Amino acid sequence: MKKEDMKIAVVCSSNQNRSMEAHAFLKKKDFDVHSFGSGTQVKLPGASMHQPNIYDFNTTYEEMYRDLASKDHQLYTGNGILRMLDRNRRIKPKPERFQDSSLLFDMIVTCEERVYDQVLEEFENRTVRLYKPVYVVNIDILDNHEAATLGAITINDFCQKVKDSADLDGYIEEVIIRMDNSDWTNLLYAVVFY
Amino acid sequence: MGKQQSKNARMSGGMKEWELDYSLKKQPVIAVGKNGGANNELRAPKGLDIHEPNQLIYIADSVRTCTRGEGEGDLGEPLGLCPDYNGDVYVVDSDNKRVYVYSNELAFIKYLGTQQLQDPRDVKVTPNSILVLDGSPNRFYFFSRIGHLYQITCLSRFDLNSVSFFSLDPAGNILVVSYRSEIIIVISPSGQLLHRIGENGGPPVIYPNGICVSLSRSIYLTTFDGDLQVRELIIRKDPSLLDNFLEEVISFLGDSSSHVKQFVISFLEEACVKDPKTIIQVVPSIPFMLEDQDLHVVKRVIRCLSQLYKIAIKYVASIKRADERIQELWETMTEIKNQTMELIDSENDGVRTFAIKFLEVLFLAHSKRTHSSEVPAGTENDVSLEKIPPGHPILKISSLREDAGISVNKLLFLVASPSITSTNLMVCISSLTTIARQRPAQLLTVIQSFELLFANLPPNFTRAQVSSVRKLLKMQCLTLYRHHCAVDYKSQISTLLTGLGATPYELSRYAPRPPPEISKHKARQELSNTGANQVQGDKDEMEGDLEKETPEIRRVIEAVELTAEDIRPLLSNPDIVTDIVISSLKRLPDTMPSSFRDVYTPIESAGTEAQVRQLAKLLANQMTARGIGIGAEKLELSHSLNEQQKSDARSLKRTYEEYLTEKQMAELGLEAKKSKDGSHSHTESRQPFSNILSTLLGSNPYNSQVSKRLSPMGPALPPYMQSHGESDLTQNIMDIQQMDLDSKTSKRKMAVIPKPKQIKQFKLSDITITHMDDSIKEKLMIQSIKRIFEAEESALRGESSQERVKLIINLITNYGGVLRDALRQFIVEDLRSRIELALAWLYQEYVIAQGYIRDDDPRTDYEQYDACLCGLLHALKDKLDPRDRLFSKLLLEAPRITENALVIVRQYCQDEDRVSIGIGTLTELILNRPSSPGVYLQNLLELTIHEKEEVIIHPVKVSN
Repeated sequence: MKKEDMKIAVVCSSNQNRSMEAHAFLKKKDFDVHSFGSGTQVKLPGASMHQPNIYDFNTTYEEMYRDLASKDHQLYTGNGILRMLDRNRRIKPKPERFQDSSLLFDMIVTCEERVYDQVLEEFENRTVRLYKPVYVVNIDILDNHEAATLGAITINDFCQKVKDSADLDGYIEEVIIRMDNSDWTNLLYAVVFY
Repeated sequence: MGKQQSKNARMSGGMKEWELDYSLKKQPVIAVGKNGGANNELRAPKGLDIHEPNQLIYIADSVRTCTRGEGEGDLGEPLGLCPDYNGDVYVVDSDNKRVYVYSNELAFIKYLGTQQLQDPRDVKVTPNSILVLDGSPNRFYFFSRIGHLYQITCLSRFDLNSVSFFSLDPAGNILVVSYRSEIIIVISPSGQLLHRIGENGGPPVIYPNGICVSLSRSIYLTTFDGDLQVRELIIRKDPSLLDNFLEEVISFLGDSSSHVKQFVISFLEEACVKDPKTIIQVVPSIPFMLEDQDLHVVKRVIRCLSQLYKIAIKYVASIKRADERIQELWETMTEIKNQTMELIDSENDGVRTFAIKFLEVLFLAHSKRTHSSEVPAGTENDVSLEKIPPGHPILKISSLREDAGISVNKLLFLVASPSITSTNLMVCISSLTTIARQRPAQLLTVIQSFELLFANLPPNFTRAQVSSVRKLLKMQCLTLYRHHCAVDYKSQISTLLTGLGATPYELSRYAPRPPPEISKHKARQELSNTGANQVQGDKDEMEGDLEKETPEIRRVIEAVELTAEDIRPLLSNPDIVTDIVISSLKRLPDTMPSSFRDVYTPIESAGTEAQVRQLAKLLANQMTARGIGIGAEKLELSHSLNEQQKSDARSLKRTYEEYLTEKQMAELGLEAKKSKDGSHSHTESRQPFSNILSTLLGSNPYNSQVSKRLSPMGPALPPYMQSHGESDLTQNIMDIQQMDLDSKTSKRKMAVIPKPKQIKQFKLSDITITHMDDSIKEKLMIQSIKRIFEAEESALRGESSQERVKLIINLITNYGGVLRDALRQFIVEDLRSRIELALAWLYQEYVIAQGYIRDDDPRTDYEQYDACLCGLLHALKDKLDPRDRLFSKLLLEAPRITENALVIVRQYCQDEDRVSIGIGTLTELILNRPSSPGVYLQNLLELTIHEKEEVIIHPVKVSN
């Protein structure tokens, strides 16, 4: 399968860390990739656990960057949030919500089980019109910078494997079984239809 | 050829493939111009045109030209270009504001229109004229072929912002591109605006540059970023043009490229969605595509069929008067449908995935939508059974419904298949859920099949597959749970959900929604009216249909239900449950398997009624899978009934006889068991047989007779007796069969003879162990003979002690050795009542000794006989009361008195306590055995001179 033939979506909760890390990585590897968040709002860590910074999906990365930089430049540089937002704003203007997207993908990778559930639920609520299958694959990635980097590499490995198979529908099962033996945490997958 | 500044690239290649190859990466045949030869990549492609007779594409590249106008025929900034029919090429140079004409060898010929043109952009050549598009102001210049300007047409009324290029389609329409507005307008030859492509939700026209339309009316565009684009723009904009295109597009299905075919299929799909009439032209080419070598194409076709099928039914249904074409269309469609349904057994996972989805569509289209159906947004107009007018000339509702039954059964069968892949399984699960949600009549069946699946997930799944499938199953069950028709099955689904790990919170969140207000009202009305309950009606109707279709899965489900009901009361008995737990504890592995840890969820509602029911169902599932339990027996029975109906009477008789012998064999095998176990297992295996018998004899005049014979043989009878009784009985039945056959009325009656499918042909070699230790053999022999001994009482009750005695004696005398000792011991235990047995043994030994039994071995040695007789006599002597006359009875009955026996008699006579018996016996022998009285007399007389007085008295008396 050609890289450009395979449309991939990476979904995490806020479309900031995990999905964007994978987005950046896969884009470098020439995949046709999009990234999404599945939550209702975009949440970023704040001064304490109980005071997260909450934005809606219409806020651009640029605006978030400026907002946080003005709030506490030192804190957000220290915890890597500003660096992350800086990376994100170079990739695309603003976070996107998966539920609002009408694009068609061949494969959707989710970064935690809750997101996987939300994605499947979204498909449950949509009407099947095109009968085009899409494979939803979950792999648990912790929401921190290091895990996101490792997760992006794992997702890339997976996408490479799928790409190398001649026929997505016929071989996805085999790829999953092979990946099951590796150290993926909480590997889940499903096939749903557009 | 002079130094040409034009960047006219002539490219070859199959036109068809080009149309779909979006980015232009073909090698040019000739690239001319200053930079032309070196690097063939396009930098800023502008005008383009196609010379179809030579299969060439011409493209002008405005960046890679050299300095402007250096010499004759050198180009400044070439924009549009066009080859004429002779192959001469016309190129617009916007720098020099004129049109250049080159030969087909790209040698400069002449200029055109040097005076009039302000900002020439593009040129097209028709057989009669040369059209030049000028950008300031927007207008067309018409030149004759020899270069005279004869007409100017202004474009201002079309409200175009910066026109760039244009093209003519085969019908003479003019397509003009506006690169700033990113639209294409189509103008008829008479100057009327036909379409504006790229607006109002149509396909976007991005950075358009050069345009041309091929003879097959595909539009080519060169775009700003160097890509050559092909768009099927017209179809979406103007269905009326579709007719012209369709034939040509369909012809591309013969192309060798998989991409082309897939593209064409999606094109056709879209065309049919847009205009259902198109389907008549499209459908005939589909069967051919389904057999394509390329799996991608096959999958694309099935995907497309999911749409086309609905459209086809809807279209056919909408036509009241069927003409030949419609008839043909439907016939082809039916053929395609059957072909696709078979693909569910394809080897390729992906193809199966699509085929499963097609079955879902098929079912939904072939079944009725009711007011309790969920209707997903946007499918309100989808076809379903109730929209097909009854009595339609082509669409027969009954056969459609039949198809629905087949398709849902196929899905159910697939879900229960142990070899299914997890991908397919998940598609099946979601398809069945969709079916259940949209056709609530199927809800119960679907839930039952999910329960079956939950208990029997395919065993070869890996951890991720198991957890994925369980998760999906849970999710789908939750959506079913929410369905307002699920209220009836609430406890069933919630137990299943709890088993799948759903939390009470989830259950309450997804609790069945009350039906919408309107339908509630409606339902109440219907209840009060004669309409009763439409759902119920539908259900019955549906199930009625499905019954016809040998619903294998349904039967299995029924069998499971039956067994579950049967064992459920047992599970509330603490003793039985404890036994089950303890016996299964032994089989648990030492370490916990990782798969168990992953899927284990603590049982929330242990011990409740619902949980016990669920547990019973799980057990019943396993039992049915292994063919145990009443459900499985019923299933087996109906199986054999079904099969049997198909074969003829003669073969029936044979199989039935086989069955009987096998049955007897099986019974005999059971004999080997201890009578306690034996009678128990016997009860189980008996039951189906008597069931079968009663079915078999249901309408038979001999019924009462046979059942009378059946009745005294309760399950309490010992195995030996039963096998005996039964062979009698089977003989009887066979007689009946024979009579039936003879009277030639057999067929009807024979039709119900069951064929015992699960009983294998009995082969001794299968169950015999060839190498067995002698000591084990002996031990087993003794054990088995002892079991026969122990069956004494029951044999007596069954009036078959004679046969039993015969059996024992034959066994003993044939296998001898240790068995003799065993028998002697057995007889000695209760001499008085077993004297018959003893005598029978004695006779048999005598017969053998005389050589009556085996002609080939006429030995007349009485060793065994002697041993037998003496052994018995010794035993009598040791065991019995001294005055017991059994001793003399045995001796008198014995066919021959051996030396050793006589010694014992003498011992008797010399014993003070036994002397009367001994002498009496001797006397009797003398009187009753005239053959050799001398020997006995001699003995008697010798006794008269015995040292003991007591002894002497008796023989003297006798002698007197």
